[in-house]
Amino acid sequence: MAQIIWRNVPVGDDYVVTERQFFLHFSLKDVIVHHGSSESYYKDAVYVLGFAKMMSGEVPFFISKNSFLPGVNGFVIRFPLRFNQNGSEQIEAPSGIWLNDLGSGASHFPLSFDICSISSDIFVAITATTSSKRSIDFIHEEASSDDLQNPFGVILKRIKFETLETIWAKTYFTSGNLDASVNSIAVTENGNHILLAGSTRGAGDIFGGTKSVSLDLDGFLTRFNSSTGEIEHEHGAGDSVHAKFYTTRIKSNLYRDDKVEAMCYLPTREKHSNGNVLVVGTSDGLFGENIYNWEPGTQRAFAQLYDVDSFSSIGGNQVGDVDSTAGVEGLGCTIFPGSDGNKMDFHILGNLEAGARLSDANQSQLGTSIFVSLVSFTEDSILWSKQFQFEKNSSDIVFPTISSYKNSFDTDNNGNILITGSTSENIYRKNSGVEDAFLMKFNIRDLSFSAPLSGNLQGGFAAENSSENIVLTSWQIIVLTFCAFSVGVTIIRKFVSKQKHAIFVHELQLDEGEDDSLPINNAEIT
Amino acid sequence: MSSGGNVWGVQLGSSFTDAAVAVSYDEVTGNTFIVGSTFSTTTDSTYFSEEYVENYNDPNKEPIERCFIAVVNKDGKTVWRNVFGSNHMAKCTGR
Repeated sequence: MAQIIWRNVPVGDDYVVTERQFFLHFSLKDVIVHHGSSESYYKDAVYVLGFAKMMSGEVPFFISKNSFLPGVNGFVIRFPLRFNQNGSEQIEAPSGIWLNDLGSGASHFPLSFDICSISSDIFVAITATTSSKRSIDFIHEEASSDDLQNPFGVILKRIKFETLETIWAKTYFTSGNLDASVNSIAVTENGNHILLAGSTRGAGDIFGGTKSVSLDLDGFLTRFNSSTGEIEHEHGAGDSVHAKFYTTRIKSNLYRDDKVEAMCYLPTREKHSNGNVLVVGTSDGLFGENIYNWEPGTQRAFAQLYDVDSFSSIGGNQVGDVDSTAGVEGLGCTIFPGSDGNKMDFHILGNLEAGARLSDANQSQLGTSIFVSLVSFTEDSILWSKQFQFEKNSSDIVFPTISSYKNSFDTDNNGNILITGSTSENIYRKNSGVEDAFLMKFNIRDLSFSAPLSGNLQGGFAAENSSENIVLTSWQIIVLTFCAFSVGVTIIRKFVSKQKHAIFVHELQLDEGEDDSLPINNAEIT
Repeated sequence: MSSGGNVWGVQLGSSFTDAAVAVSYDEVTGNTFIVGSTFSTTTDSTYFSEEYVENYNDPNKEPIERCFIAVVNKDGKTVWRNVFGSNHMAKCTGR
């Protein structure tokens, strides 16, 4: 049994009460448990990423109240882990670091972080904006002129794991002062590169290398040097002005928004290769051929796979509502080597809006639900989709819901998927609250998950393989209808004939004085 | 906790609004860490059990939203959970 040596640590322990009221809003974004190779005190620790928003007044915080700036402040909190001699673990009192260093002019929204497996250093991707603070007068007054000229930016930080000091910080702005958000960051296995994925309408070298702004939201994927935070370019390509940067724009149709939510990195055993990376998000456009005859304008999950070395696109797929009416949100992924050893397979995970169905086999939902789809690059198709859903119940006043977030997914040592989120139903606990937290383990081999204690959580299975999804033309429907009708008529005629024959024999036997309890099938003529 | 075969599920929360927003699997121990928000009138960790605790609500208290961190072991059992956050009109979400 684990021991708890701290509990209920209030944030305001070092807070000196003033006359001003305050309202502090925390938002957690991600958690990573990390076991380092060093002998440091912080070798084993759990890291939590989030931000705090002060609405007014003074600010309490246990990290270091002196470094808290007006606006939105990102933070990393660390919970050291210890293991007793019997192997049980205990968690120790947390410490942390504020991520702000742009001055008081910006609000910082860290949305993703990763920890290097070699150095244990922490890499954080921060979306910085000054727009949100304009509604707060005293913050607006403190904004610097530089911030106002460049109101939107992306900040990358490398933080030393032992001291939580910033090793380097890089800020990038889009040309045209358009917004950019960075939703996912990953460190390559060798620790040499950082992969950053996000979305923007703006242009610039790190935002896919485009020279002009977009009319719609595009995704981008860029590779940085982990030692410097600088964007990387091809060796031998000359000066940086003419070099080919390792960056790509992720976009569907024109005028369609493509929002990147998550990224999954798959290292390779090849010596001089950095592996592949899968970018997942939501788009109301279409990537590639529209094999499902989807209508444009409805949000669907998308996944695009890239080679980390060449930054070339390898392929991708989309998951959407068969009726093209309700939205499907791509939030997470897993990626693993395919069966042939060369290709890759991956899972797309996310949320379904009310009414969305991934196939005709699924019910239309009154509330939200979540899904897992397996995509095979070997077969270039979606092999199956699992839609976790609740049965329709017209008496429900509040529609049953289950939903996840963009860091709600992870895999265990066997590749099974761990899914967390919130639900309004009693799936694994009696008498749930208005909404409860849940964690479920999904077996990727037999597609099973634990049955709920009560309620009606369903796991609608549907094959969405393009080769299995039979799309019928009008004449095919007519021919198949005729065939089905012919087969049906034949079966009915045989059945009626057989019953008539049996009744006829039965009546003959009754006429001969047999017991009328004689089963009819005993009187059948062979 | 509910289990069958090698799959399991857990549900945590108070009678108000709770949500887990992020998850991380520990490859060394087989434990799973989740973080999120919990909304209650007390910091007593007993309310944060898998079983409903009757009458835990204190009508004299305003519910407070806090962050939580919890650990679920490889068998799907919640081995510990803890609450962190301010006791002063604070809230915690993942949204």
